[in-house]
Amino acid sequence: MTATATPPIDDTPARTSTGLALAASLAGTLALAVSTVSLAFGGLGFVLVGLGLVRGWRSAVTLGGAGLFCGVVLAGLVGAPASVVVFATATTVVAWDIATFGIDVGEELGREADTRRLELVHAGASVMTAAIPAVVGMVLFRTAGGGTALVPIALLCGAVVLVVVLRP
Amino acid sequence: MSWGRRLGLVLGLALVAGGLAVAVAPELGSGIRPNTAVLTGTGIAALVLAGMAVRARLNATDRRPDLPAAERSQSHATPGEAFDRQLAAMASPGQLHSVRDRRQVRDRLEATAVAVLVRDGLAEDAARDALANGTWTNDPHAAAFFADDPGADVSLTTQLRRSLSLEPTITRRAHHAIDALARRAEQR
Amino acid sequence: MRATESADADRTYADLGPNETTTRRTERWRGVSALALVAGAAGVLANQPALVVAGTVGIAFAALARAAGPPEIEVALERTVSDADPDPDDSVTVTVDVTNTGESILPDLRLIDGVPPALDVASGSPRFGTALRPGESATLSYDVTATRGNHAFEPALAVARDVSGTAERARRVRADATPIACVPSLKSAGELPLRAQTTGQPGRVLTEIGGSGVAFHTTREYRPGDPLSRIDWNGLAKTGELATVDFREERAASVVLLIDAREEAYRAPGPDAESAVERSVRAAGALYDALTDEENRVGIAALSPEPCWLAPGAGTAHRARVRELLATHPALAPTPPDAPFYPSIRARRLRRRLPDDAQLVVCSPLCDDTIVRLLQRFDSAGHRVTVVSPDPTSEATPGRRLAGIERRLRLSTLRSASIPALDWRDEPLATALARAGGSV
Repeated sequence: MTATATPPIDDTPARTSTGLALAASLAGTLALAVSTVSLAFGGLGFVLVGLGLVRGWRSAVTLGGAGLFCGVVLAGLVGAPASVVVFATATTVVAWDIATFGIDVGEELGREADTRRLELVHAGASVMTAAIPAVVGMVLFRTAGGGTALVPIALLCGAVVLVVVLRP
Repeated sequence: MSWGRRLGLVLGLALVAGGLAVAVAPELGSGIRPNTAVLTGTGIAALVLAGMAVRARLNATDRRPDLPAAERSQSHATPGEAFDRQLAAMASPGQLHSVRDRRQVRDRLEATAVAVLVRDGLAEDAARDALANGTWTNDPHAAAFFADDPGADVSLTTQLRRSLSLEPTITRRAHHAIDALARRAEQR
Repeated sequence: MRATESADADRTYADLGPNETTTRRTERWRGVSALALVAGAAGVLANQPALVVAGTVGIAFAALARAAGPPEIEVALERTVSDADPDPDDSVTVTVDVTNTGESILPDLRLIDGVPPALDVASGSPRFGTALRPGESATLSYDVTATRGNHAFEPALAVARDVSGTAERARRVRADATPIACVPSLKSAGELPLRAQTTGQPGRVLTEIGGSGVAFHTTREYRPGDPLSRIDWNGLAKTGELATVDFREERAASVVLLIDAREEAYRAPGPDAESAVERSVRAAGALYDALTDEENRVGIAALSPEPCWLAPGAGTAHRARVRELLATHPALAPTPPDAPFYPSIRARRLRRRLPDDAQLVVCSPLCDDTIVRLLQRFDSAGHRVTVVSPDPTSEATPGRRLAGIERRLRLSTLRSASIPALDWRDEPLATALARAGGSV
């Protein structure tokens, strides 16, 4: 088809995903209230994610996610409880996933299109993918009862090797 | 999956399993004490890999094929769009095909100008002479487009104004020439 | 049926054949492993094992993305329209049912329906996003505004992704649906004076343009003694010579309405404006009634790669055929033709079909010189030509202004060859005809 004068669709990010992503990033930010620095980073990240969702800027959303993640790392370094750290990480990744998905759907299908089911299924899958390692990790962490430094080293080495193997 | 990848996968999973085993039963790992060097080494290696992963992401460009614009009906071309494209192409200097574009633009404008003047009553030779001499119009820019001599006796202020203007000379002259022809064609 | 696959990233969806799919990877999860690595490194270096555990979330997403494969798209589309023969500007609701006929779940299915290229979507959206289990269906509906023509639906574009959104497959899906055929009624516009060429059958015809609308007459040289009431006063005013009207006869004309429907004629002043071919078809429909009212035989023809010819005739059955042809003939489709047009071949064929005494009323935007040459040849071959020319030019840019000048030159060329040419600008046809009642 030839190009047309007026843009064919309203390509702002999809409504359902915007709402869910904002809720997730807000939850993550609130969980980072353990220290002022982490809360500051978390708040900045939340604002950037919100801005990206309103304007459809993927880079703002990714920067916001990075900000939230910095808050998580800072909270972890300060010694926040494991459940808080794991929960905040999970919500950060889920919020980023849902937000970028919403921007994609907005650009490809537009606001007028009926995409609720698509977005809800995707959000559900994202939450499951984040929840399973989070829950399993927390359970193991509790049973370990504050193990030695060997545990995290081994796990990290395993993670590094897996990452190298998994890279396409 | 190649055997290197398979080996890596096995090693990674073994390490994770070992770590989990120690987590569940701490006495298994009582003998092993990792020293600070191993700790920092692993940490640094992880950070380096993280840097590589981030760089890979920044380099990855996502080009999605265009989606059809189904909501709007097919739009039609407007006469003269090709000429506009040629005018715009002419404006960018240094391109190989700008010379050919210049010639096509000039030929087409010349043919139309001659036709307008002939319709007004001039003979064809007289029309070409009028174009070459610039006597067909009051507009100096329009006249300069067809004139053979690019204008040796142009004043300094005009030269200055020309060099400061953003529009390339030949496109400006072409615009003026078209406007002058349009005025002339409407008179009939 | 096994679909052929292609993974070339530069293919556009429009190139897809009926059973072809194309796959690509979106790379949206690239680099997420950095999450796990940074968290893990921080956890190890600061002796905070909680961070290492938190990093496993990143590993899970990276693993999911790595294991992703593009899903097979096996869907069935059923498309229905609320009204298969609407009137112009009516709203038609299109309903599409999508069913997952495959054996696995489609977690991310996006659909863009193949709206006919000449129709605008008035409300709703032809785009849709859903997730379907095997055997499940979903419905999509939207409204289009009907315009003249036979509008066939194109295949819909279906794009499916896996759960992580990394691997994508695209495919065009056909649906058997009735096309939307909109046949507008013929509306009269006004009178167009015809040229002096008649067949010898009774009927009324107006004299040539510039005259006073008096019936056709033949004259002979004035002989002293002729009654004053039979002097041709119009001729005296024009030529200064005395002549006597020999007889007045009302004669019929055979007229062919010729529509320029070549690719060069599909031009419009702007992207949302009507094309010149659309205006020409409307003009032909309006003029048919005006010409036929005066008991002339009128036929339709088109200059197009697709042959289009309806011999001159009269009566209600003929009028119905004209109405159908103007609305749905492929040569007059709302979208331009792809096939090449060979002017000499088509002109020869048309000349062979034209009755010897036929006049041509030509509707053409005059956007190129070929049409001017063709019309001049028809005129000098004995088929008098009158031209109604919808104006597709605009004044927005220098190139468009130049095209406007060139078109006006073509109008002048035709007029100086004694071919009346009406410049129909952005106005109702009746206004243009009234303006030309004096002279074109």
